[in-house]
This record gives sequence, structure tokens and C-alpha cells, in this order.
Amino acid sequence: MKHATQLQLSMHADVALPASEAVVVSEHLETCPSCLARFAEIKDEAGFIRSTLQIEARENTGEVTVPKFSAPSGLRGFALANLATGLVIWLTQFLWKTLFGEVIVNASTWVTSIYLPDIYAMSSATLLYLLKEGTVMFNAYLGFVVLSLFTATTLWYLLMHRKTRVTMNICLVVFVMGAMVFPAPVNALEVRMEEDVVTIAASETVDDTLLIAAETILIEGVIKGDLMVAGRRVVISGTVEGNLITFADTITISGKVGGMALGASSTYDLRGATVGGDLWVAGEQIGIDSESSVVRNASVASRSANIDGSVGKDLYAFAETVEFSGSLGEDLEAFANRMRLLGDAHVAGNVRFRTDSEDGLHRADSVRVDGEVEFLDMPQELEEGSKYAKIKYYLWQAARLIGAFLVGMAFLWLVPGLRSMSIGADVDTLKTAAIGLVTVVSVPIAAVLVAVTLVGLPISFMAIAAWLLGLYLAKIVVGAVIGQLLLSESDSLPRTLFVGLLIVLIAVNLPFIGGILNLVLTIVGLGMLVQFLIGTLPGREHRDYEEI
Amino acid sequence: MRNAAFEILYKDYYVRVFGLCRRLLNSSEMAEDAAQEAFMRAYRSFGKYDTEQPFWQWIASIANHHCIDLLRQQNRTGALFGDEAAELEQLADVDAPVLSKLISVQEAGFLNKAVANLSAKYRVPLVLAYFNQFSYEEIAQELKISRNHVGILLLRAKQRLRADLVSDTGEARK
Repeated sequence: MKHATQLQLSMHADVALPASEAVVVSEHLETCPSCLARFAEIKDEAGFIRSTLQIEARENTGEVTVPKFSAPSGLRGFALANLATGLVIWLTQFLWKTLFGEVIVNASTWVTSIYLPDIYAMSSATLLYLLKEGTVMFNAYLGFVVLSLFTATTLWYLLMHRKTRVTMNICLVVFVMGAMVFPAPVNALEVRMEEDVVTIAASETVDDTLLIAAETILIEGVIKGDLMVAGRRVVISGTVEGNLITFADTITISGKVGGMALGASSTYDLRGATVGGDLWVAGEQIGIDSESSVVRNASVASRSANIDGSVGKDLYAFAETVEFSGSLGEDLEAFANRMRLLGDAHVAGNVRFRTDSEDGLHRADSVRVDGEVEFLDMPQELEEGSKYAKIKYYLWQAARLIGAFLVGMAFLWLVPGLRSMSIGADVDTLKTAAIGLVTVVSVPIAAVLVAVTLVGLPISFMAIAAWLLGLYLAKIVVGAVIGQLLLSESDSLPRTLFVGLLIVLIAVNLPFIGGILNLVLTIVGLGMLVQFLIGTLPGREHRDYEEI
Repeated sequence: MRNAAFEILYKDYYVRVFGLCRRLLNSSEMAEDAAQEAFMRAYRSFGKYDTEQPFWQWIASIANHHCIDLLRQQNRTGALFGDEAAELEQLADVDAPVLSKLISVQEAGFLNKAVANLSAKYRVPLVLAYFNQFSYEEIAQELKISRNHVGILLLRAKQRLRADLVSDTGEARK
């Protein structure tokens, strides 16, 4: 045979020739010293490359820092991120509504029953502060939270779809730019703040939602959106097409409100006013004159309520004295010491009077009540009689079981680490219970303390929400653990969870000891949750981040 | 459990995988991403990992695969590894001295520089064969070319390295 080719020698050196060809080459090498010499060189070279490449690798990779490995998130992570985003958005919305809606109204309702002399001055001062500082603060906060969560979700999503870093950077830049041009969530909001008097003149029309805080506020013009005002004296003779929310010392409304009117003040007067929605008022003295009308329900809480106008639906009055001489489309329900139905008052529905003594009712002869007049005791929470005898009770418990089961399945799917939790031996159980107890007690206290600073209000709301969620999940976790203890390890998750929950539910409903069991199970479960979180988030403050 | 085990393997093998990716891709930055991605993929299919097989072999095949995919994406014009017949024709006939005659092990830097200068067409098979210790068969499978083609590419790669080093070391030693 003629000399072996370079290719043959190279492949032969790497033991890569097909067997038949390899035999031929081998035979030739035995007879040809020049080819053999070349072959030896090439073989040598291959070894040389091998070892050299390894050396370099070791030298250069010495400086390589090993980045932290983050397990790919997959669907579960994505779901978690979305859950967190949703939760925060929901919380902020809830906060916004609660802060400016329910809480303040309810708090004033509650406070009127105690009667603090300067409560309206105090609350309007607080509100002035909140409106001045709070709105900006809140907007910044809301924007930040939503934006950062959205960013986090986007990043998560990109990571999940295996994009390289370059693509990710581009996406980030695009996103940030988008966020900058994206309109702020509360841009249709106008804020006016003056020391003395703010007047919306009769000729003026405001298209947005208007927020005013001032000593005296006079609204004569038209507000197309909602109107929120806080001040010492508020007079509204113009038109508010949206909702009206007022906090002031004295409020007089003689104009038109398209939506709901909600307010708290020491005197709240409707004089020839029309409210298109519900009326919610808390105050020292509330008056609705004969020219005024409320299209839907009216709820008033005050020391004395004087209602002369018309209410389209129900009237709820919580007061020491209620005087009614207007007309009512549906029922009148009064929680009061004294109620006077005067003049040509007309109630199309029933009158329910909750009072301590029936002598409190004065009814003029000319008053018409189409339905019944009932006297009721002050509401009592529970009716006597065994709850176990009612079918409703069992239906309710079944619904609770199913709800807890579904929530538990979803929760354990999202946080698989919890599946392998156990209650532990005696001392550990005590420790767990102690942690749970501390959490149960300390979170609300901490939340209240934080809330007092006003700045911390959002945090305290979140903490409370997380705490409540934790209380609910606690029993589910305990149920899962109990189910695992009773059934064999290999049993499927739905079975163990269901059995565990069933046992927990029965335990907490046992007569006499159910309440204590409930407390103990909740505390242990909460302790386990907190311990689990401490385990997964080392060195992180855990209480405010119960579930997320 | 799966997490903990994987974490250990990750720490042990990251540097090697990174080194492999850097050799294949010729860029530290891309290699970092590629190594991460390789481990991500490994993590996802960790359930299918056969513990009889050495982990290095498994993770290396994932990394190779990913890197070659990346290179293919970069090189949109035609086949990344050229045409077998055309490559064969380009083989140099001259008997250049082999690498081990040109430099010593202490001068590994020269060789590495030369390897980095090779185009992906030659660099990838070279790295797979001599760094990764793949057989021709495995390389052929990975690159989707014939075994002979692999031999030709490797020979071409070595010839280029020799030529490069002849001029390089010549200059350096002057």
C-alpha cells in the first residue's frame, strides 16, 4: 500500500478509523518507518492538546465565581408571582377604599356612641394631614408597588421562557420606558389645598375627581367626578355628579349629588338637596329638610337625627333621638332611645324599632305606616338552642370543609415544602406552639403600633391581612400534618389532606372543648407556618410576610 | 431533597461546565448564560437522570447541545460545519511540524490563543474531541455530520493551529 494519508493518521491516532481501514493502516505502519514516525508525532500531539486544554481550563476558571443557582420557577413560581401581584393590588385597592370609605365612617359611627367632644375637629385635622401628605405618599407607594411587582413578574416570566440575558435587558429597558410613559393610576385627580377658603364658583366645571382640603369650602359649580372634601365648614350648593365624601365640622348641602354621599361632621344638613345614591352620615346632629330627597337608602348615626325629607328605600337610624316626618319608600329601622314619628310622616314599609323600652316611641295620629310597627330588643348575636340540631349548621360545616380542602390543595401545591412538615416531638411541639402564640398576639399589636405612624398604614394593613390569612391556613396545615400522621406516607395528598381536615373540623366543633382545641390547633399551625418561613427565608423578618 | 442534591452537583460542576461553554462559544459572557441554562435544563429533567451515568457526561452533553444550538442560531448562513468534500479539498498537504514540537506544555497560552482564534467550525469539534473527550461517533451525532467529516474538521483544525503557532512562536521567539 502507498503511504497513509494525513487524515488516516490523524483519525487512527484518535482511534476513530473504521475497523477494516484501521487494520490496513496498522499493517502499513509496521512496514513504513516514515509513516510510523509521523503517526507517533500525531498521537503525541493529540495527547498534548488534551492536556494543554485541561491546564488552561484550570488556570482560567480559577477566577470564575459560581453564580447562585436559582431553580427554574416553572408554572408554580409564575402562579406565586401572580398571586402576590394580585394580592398586593387587591390590598392597595382595599386600603384606598377602606381608608377613605368604610373605616372612617364606621369609626365615626362607633365614636358617636361614646361621644368625644372634639372628634370632628380631630378627624378633620387628621384628614387634612392625610390629604396633604397621604395622597402623594399613597400614590408614590401604589405606583412603586405595582411597578415593582409587575417588573418581578415580567422577569420571572422571561426567565421561565429561557431568554438570554441580552433579551432580558432589552425587555427591561423597554418595560421601564413603558412604565415611564404609562399614565399614573390616579391622574384624573385634582387636588386643591388652601389655608382659608376654596371656592368652586357657579360658573366653574371640574371634569376630574376633585380633592379639596381647606378651612372653608364652597362648592357652587359642577364637579363631573367624585368630590372629596375635608375642612372646617363645607357648603355645597352646586352639583356633584359622582360620589361625595365629606369630613368637616359643619356640612351643608343644598345642591345635587349624583352618586353616594358619605360624610362625617358634627352637623350635617341637607337643605333642598338631592342624593342620587345612598346616604351615609355620621355626626352629632343630622338634619334632612322637607325639600331634600335621597333616592336610595339612608343610614344615619348621630346623637339626634331629624329627617323631614324623602328617602327612596330604607332608612337606618342609629341615634339617641330620631325624629321622622318625611316619606319613606321602604322600611324604617331605628336603633334609638327615643323615636318620634311626626306630622304627615309616611312609611311605605315596616317600622322596626330596636330599643330598650317601648315608651320611647311617640307616634302622631296623622302618621301613616303601611306595614307593621315592630318593637325589637337590641340585636342579640346568638339565638338559644342547640346548634347541632340544625341542618344549616351541617351544610355550613360541609361548605367549610370543602373550602378548606380546595384552599389547602392549592396552597400545598404552591408551597410544596409544607408537605413534608411534621409537628415534631414534645419539646418541638411546645416550641412551635409558643412561636404560634407569639405570632397570634404580636402581629396585631405591631400592626396597630405601625398604623399609628400613618406612614406605616399600608404595611399594617398588609400585616393584618397576612395574619388573617395565616390564621386560616394554620388549621389547614395542621390538618395536612394530622392526615399524614394517620395515613401512610405513600397515600396521595388529597386523601391525607381531606382526612386531616375532617378530623380538625370535627375537633373544633366538639361541644365544650372545641373552642380550646380550635385555639391550640391554630396556634400550632401558625407556629409551623412561621417556622417554615423562617427556614426558607433565613435572617428575614417573618411576621409581616406570612404567606407570600 | 432533589434541590439539595442538585445544589451540590451544581457547585461541583459549574466551573467545568462554564469552561466547556466558554471554549465552545469563545465568550465568557455567553458562556455564563449558557452554563446557567444548561443547569436549568438539567434541573428540569433531573428526574430522568440515570445515576449509573457519570454526571459530567450528562451535564456536558446538555451544555454541548445548548452551545451548538446557540452557534447555529448565530450562523444563519448555511451549514455551520461546512461541506465534507469541500473541506477535504482544503486539507493542506504540507507536513508541518506537530504542535508538541512547536511549543512546550509551559507555553499552553499560545495554543489556547490559537484555539480561540479558530472559527466555530473547527473549534467546536476540537473542543468536543480533546477537551470533552468525546469519541468521533459522539461528535458526529452531536453535530449531525458524518464521522469522516469529523475527522477532516479535526485535521483541519490541527493544521490551522500548527500554521498559527509556526508564525506566532516564530515572532515571539525573535
